Amino acid sequence: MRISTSLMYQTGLGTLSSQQSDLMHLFQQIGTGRRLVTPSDDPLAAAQSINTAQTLAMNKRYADNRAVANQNLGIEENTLSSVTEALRDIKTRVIEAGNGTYSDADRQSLADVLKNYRESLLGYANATDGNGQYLFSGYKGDTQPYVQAADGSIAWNGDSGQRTIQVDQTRRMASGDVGTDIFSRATPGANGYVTQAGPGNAGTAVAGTTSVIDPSGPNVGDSFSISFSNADLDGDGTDELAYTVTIDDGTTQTSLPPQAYVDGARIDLGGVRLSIGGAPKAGDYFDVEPAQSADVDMFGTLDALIDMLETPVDGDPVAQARIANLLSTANQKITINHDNVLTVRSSIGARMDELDKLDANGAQRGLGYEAQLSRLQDLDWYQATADLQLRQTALQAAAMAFQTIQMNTSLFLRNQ
Amino acid sequence: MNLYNLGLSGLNAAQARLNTTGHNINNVDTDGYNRQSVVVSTAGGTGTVNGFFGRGVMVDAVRRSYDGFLYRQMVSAQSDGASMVAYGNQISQLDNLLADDTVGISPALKNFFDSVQAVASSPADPAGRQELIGQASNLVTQINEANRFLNDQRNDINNQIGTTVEQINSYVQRINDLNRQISAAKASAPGQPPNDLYDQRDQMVTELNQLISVDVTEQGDTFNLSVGTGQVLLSGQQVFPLRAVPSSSDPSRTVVAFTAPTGQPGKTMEVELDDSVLRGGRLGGLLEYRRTALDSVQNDLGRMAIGLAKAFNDQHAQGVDLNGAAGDDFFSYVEPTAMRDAGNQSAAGVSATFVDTNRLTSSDYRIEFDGANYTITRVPENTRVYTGDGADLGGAPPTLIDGMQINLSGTPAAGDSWLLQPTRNAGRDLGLAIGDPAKIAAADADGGSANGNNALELAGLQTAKILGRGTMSLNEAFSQLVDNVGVQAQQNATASKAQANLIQQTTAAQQALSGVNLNEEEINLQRYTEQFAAAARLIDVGTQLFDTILGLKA
Repeated sequence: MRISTSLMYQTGLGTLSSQQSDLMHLFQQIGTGRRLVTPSDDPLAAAQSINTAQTLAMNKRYADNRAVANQNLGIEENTLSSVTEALRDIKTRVIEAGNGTYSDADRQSLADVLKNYRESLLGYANATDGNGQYLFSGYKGDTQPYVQAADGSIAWNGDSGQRTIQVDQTRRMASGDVGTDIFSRATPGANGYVTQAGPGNAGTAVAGTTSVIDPSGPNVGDSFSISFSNADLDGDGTDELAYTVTIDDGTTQTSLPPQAYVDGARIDLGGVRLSIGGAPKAGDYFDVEPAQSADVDMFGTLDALIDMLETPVDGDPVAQARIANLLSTANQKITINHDNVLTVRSSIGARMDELDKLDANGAQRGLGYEAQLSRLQDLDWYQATADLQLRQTALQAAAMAFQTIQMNTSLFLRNQ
Repeated sequence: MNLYNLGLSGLNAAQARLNTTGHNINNVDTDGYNRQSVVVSTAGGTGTVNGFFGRGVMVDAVRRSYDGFLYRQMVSAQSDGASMVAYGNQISQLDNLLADDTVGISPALKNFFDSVQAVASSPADPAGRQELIGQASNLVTQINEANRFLNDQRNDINNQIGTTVEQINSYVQRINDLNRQISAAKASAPGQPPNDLYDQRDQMVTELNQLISVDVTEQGDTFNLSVGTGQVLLSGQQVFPLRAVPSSSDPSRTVVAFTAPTGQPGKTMEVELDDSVLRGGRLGGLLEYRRTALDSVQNDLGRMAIGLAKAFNDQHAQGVDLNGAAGDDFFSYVEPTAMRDAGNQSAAGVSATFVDTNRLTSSDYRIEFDGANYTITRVPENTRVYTGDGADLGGAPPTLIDGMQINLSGTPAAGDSWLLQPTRNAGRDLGLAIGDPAKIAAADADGGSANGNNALELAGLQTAKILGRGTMSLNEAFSQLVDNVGVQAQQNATASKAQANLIQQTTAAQQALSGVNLNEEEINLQRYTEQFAAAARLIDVGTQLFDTILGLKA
């Protein structure tokens, strides 16, 4: 076959060019450290790396979101820790005030102390985060959740919006709690009771703590009212002091037959029990309400307590009985509040714990995504350096071969 | 006496061969040159009673070593190769544009949704809201820029089509000239081939094929040229030039028209050629790139822009901003208007409204009215998607065409047509409608500055399958675009390599016959020099013989 001279040169040049372009590509790969210089090097890997990069970015984003959630929950936990302290102190004071040795002056100074606590609690309830957003106001972050009216009463002004943060691909977490769930709620599921004496009670009867003795009792969860009246129960022609229990299960009210009152008697209400001591008068009554439906607003409780402590009662046994009842009620309510705040705190703890675990998972996943991305995009340096050597040698060899063939096969050049 | 003549004929033959060898050596690197050689034959014999005595050698002709089949194979391979190179030059620009995934649309999308998430987590944080506006603006810029790049490429292709068409016409003109020169040359030396003119004409055809694949039919010594499906460029001595003209259906698109005889003598008319008809060469490559890659990439980008804008706006409208007002449009986009064909007899218009962007395709639509019914055809697939009188298109509820409501206005004339490109310019038209961070509707309908519920839903759009009938997220749509470009660039590179090999092989085959080998010429030089010397020696011997006879007399 005839090899035309120009074809020989063209072929030599073509071989060198193609070797050089391979070398160039290798240079680009080594220069950038990327296996994929352009998408055409591996279109599927290029497309996959775009999607993996997004997944990786989202994974990082969720970590950032978790940091925000963690910070929000941390601020809330700090605040609620102070609220817990305050409630514990208030409880101690209320129990002290009930020991019967307090004078009007003592009670007045206690009222002053409680006023301070009330101020602190109001401050906690209106706490803000770094952006000046109220922690407990629901969605209305810029609305003060608890506002003191001109008459001194404190009203709820927030809404029930639950703030959530996307902390993982499929997990939206509450990054805070609403004020009403902290300051005026009994822990959902708690079956405690609140006993309140009728405000106009004329006798000296004082109700003890209502306790649930049998959680499966027939009337647990119902409301009760115990009212006193004079009735001739034994038929001797004279009336005795009797009490009537009315059970309210939410739809119907059932009154039990009147019973004779005995001082200090334990009154069994069907799973729920309380004792009443002292000397009630006909027309007096006690309401026993389950914690879930009772008004347990912290500020309302404190206001009533302060108001009552500031009223002089020395030498008036009826007023003293009233105060004893109110202190007992306040104690029950504050206990309910305290339990509830502790529950909220434990839920915060659980959430922060979950965030930690999600962080660990996220970090693990992030490593996986990065490894995948690296596999898709990054250069195998050992392979590339070896290739570089090989290509360089091949290029040199091709150049040498061309030169040799050209020099040694030209008759014209040989004749010179 | 005879020896002188024999010597002379040998000298002449050797001289002719040495000349031709010299010509070959000189043109060893001339493009399109075919090796020439001298055809000689015996000059016959003079009959005597003693037998026939040869009269020496006779130069018959100078021939080129040429094989039409090998030549055509090589030219056809080169034409396809040139088409692939032109395609490759364009697609590699896109390939490079998408090469770095740390810049451009992909990171802009990531950062945009990242800042949506940040607003969802801290809806009241003014810095986060400002960041979202900034990132949204960046995303819009990146999409606009990518589209601008594609438009620049489109304009560049328009220009290249114009230049290439001029070059084609110029080549056709020169081939026409060479046809005439060859006829003249043949007339001046009857029976002798004008080799170098043939070579020149073949080289013109070779170079013309680098621009467009041309069919050559030989009529006597004249080349007739045609392209595509038989559109004539050169016939007899008449040139029918191609023209680069704005398409009648889309003035922004330069297309190729050919001139066709009207039937009346001397009158011609221009007929637009479908892009797919023209194949091979640079022009074929450019048209193929525009038809198969550029249009679809730009439409894909536009569809992504529309999908983003519409889905984000729809969700944004569900929310409430910091002032308590319902969310305004976040992104701006333009509802598409169909282009009227230049030949339309009426002023009737067609436009579209995006309704369900999830059903949106990356196709264009041709709408035709036949006097009673409209037909809507997806192009370039040529799938008919609607036939009817159009009443239901505006009905309640309207019949949607691929997620769009088609709005007809005015009274059309029979034969009118429109071209609707719903997504073509969407990458250009995408804008940011919002500038005030407080206007971001991060809250759901309940409102409140700490309410990030709607922002959470907006952030969910990052992975929601909002395109391609629920098959793709925005990011996946973009990665599909990158994959598409990558695959086409890769295919082109692979095909180009194979084609380069084919060109190499066909060239080697053609050169094996027609190429000049200097070693061969060197040997020829020696051979013919020796022949020359030998012939000269004949004359010398003849003289000696004369001298001998003259010496006898003395």
